[in-house]
Amino acid sequence: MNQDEEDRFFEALAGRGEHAPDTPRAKALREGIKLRADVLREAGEMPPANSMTDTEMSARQRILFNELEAKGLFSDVTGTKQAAAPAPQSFFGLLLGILSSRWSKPMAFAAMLALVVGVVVQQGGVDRPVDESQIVRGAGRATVIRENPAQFVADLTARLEAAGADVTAVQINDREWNVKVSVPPGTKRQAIREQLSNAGFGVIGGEGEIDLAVTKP
Amino acid sequence: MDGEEFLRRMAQGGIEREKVCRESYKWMEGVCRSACRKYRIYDEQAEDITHDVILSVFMKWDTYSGRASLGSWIFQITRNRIFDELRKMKAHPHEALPEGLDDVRLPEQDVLTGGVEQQICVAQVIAALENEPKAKAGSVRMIELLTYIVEGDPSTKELAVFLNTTEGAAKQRRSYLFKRLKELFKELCGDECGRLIKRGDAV
Repeated sequence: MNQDEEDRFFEALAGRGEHAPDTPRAKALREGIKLRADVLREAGEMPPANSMTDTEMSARQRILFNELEAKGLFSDVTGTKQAAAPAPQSFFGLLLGILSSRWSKPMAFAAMLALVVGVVVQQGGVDRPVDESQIVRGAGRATVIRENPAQFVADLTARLEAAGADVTAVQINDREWNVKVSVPPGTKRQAIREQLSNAGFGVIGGEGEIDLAVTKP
Repeated sequence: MDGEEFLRRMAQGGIEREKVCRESYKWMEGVCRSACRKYRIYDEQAEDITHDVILSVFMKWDTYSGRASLGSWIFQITRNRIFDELRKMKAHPHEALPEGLDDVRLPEQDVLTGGVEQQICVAQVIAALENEPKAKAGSVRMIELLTYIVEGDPSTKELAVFLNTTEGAAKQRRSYLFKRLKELFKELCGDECGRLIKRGDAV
């Protein structure tokens, strides 16, 4: 590192100097910092928060609150949200327990087998082996662990969009991304499922929006 | 509400979480909408983004580290969601861009991808700086130092006053910031601060 390089960098960052017009990266960094500062300054200038009553809540806010409530955020459980919803991976165990308590074990096993076969047939075949240790399921969201979530999400988004899906990827923090996948009418859902399976998400059923997460180890 | 209070009250669960939502909704909405305005995102798009971000903030509250301020964290999530929206618009150019976007943020159609990608790269660097803890109690965080330099273009003497230290130590701190930025640009964007400056043929 030399002093000249450093000085010129900070000159460009401060928006002056002969190099400033030719420094797209520095310009972007400068813009990004200024924009962040403006937004936080505006947020700080907002009136102090006061608690809303039900009648004060707008329709938009009410929709959000209902959604949060439906997702179990307000359930009387302390700790993380994962505790609010049973993990799907325990579903079969739970089902086996319920069936076993009412029917004989062979009957319960047969019912389980029929259910599993039904799921696989509906998916159009058996998916390639998936490293289950890399998948975390909880709170209705399938999560895969990857060294470089940003790159993985970018690749996945491109593949899913090429298959016709509408994808919204949001970085939550430096470790985690959320990916919402919806399938527009007329698009083959099976093609989307295959892409997700190839990406390591295993079998994903259901007809609604698919909610995924990608995290660093 | 500061980050510590947010985490403490959300961890209590149940009715306390609902209270936090009610108390902080308007403020969070303000942060999201302000960020949307800066990127020229308006109307329904801004509403959708705001909805998604606030939903993420509450459903993913336990992933908030508390290092950056709560406002910074919400801004980071909003910015990332906006970039995703901008990428989609690039992927589907037949859909109209928000009014003024092409004029202000992304001057030419063929610059759109580069513009957004560059912004994403920079956002990653800023986010990494936001999440870095203070070097020691009472010291100025690197993101604050960077903001001060960008907004104030300070002399070494002014920098020393801001950092409450000597001019020599202020220079050292600035050099350390430069070194750290180089590392982050290399790690997150595949290049270095040196490429931020035009030198001869290298840009």
